[in-house]
Amino acid sequence: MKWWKVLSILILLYVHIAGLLVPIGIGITSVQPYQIRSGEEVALAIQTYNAMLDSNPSDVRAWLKYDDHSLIEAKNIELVSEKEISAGFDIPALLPDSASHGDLTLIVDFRDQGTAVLPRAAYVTAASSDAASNTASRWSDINLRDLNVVSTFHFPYRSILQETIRNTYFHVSLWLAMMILLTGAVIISIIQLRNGSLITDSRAYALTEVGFFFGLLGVTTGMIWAQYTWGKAWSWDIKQLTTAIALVIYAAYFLLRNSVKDPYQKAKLSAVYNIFAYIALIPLLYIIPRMSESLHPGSGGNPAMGGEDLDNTMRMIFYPAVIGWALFGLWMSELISRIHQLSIMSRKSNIIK
Amino acid sequence: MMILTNFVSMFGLAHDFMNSMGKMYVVVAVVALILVGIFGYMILIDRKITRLEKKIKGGNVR
Repeated sequence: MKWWKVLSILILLYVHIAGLLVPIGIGITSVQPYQIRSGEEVALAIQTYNAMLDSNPSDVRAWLKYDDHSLIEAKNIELVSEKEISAGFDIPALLPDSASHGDLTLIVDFRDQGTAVLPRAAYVTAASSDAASNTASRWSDINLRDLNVVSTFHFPYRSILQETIRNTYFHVSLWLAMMILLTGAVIISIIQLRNGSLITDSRAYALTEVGFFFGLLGVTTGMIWAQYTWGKAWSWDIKQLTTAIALVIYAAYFLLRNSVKDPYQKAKLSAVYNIFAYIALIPLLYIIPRMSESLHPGSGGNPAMGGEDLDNTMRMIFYPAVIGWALFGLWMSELISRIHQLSIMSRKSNIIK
Repeated sequence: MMILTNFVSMFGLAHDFMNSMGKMYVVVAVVALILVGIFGYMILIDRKITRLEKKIKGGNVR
């Protein structure tokens, strides 16, 4: 068996094992209450994810952050349950810049386990100026320098996504592998137009078929993911729509092939259509979705899988996953091409019993 | 009527299940779908090869 086939299996095994077993980092799932008022004492009930809260809450520190120079530290932390802590804050009487309201970020540092940050954890409104203040605290420029960086390997926690961030190694990598396969298909289609070979046509067809199959898997896995993170499997999100259109265009490639009998004509028409389908694929998948706001990462002008969507731990699994799926897809396409060639040969030489 | 309400509550339970454990089962569903898809494709390919072999080699194909 060829080396790259074995490599594809090894890579995919690694991706599945690492992708599913590496733990997710610490996160904050909810903070109650959301609305707080300045000048008051408040006890925030903080639900955590993947934190091993034991009986020693002195290991835990928490801050509320208004902006980079305005923070307050929790005055006490209590353990409520194995997933929940209660942090008491004295909210200062005045907001920085005499603002009337603002979003607060909650930062919780767990010794040895890392730090969790939840932006917009609470919303503070300034009390009316003649209300008596219960607290004497002030926003200060606390320098959070000795936050605990956990040394174990883990994937980042993202609210709402939680464990499903692992789908990046499956859903997103399949799309990129599809792009590699379809790019190969169009290149081989162009080669076919020049050499007129049926074997080349068979390879182009096989790559397109596997690419299309990966695209179908991408859409369906995306719908499962969306159901539980966006709330609906299909939300007419621009990228969902454009990829569906692209897949319909490629589906027509197979219909076209089926409608032509002569294999040389079929090869030529398929190659030309493949080129047009690919030319449509690029703007549909990579240009139009970036032009508008969407739930998909990579919208509103930002390239997808940028710094916001992947961190260095995830990159170690993600890039091999793309290569692994692409190589595995290449293997599948090789099998399909061999079958296709054999079926043509059996028809041509009429070795039918 | 009872059947309808039971069906709806079953859907609600499934929703709770999929959302539990940090939505780990959503990951499981995605991976399972990919595996099922690939296995299905393998079966399709295997059948094509078998048909071809029968055609080329004749009736003595095991």
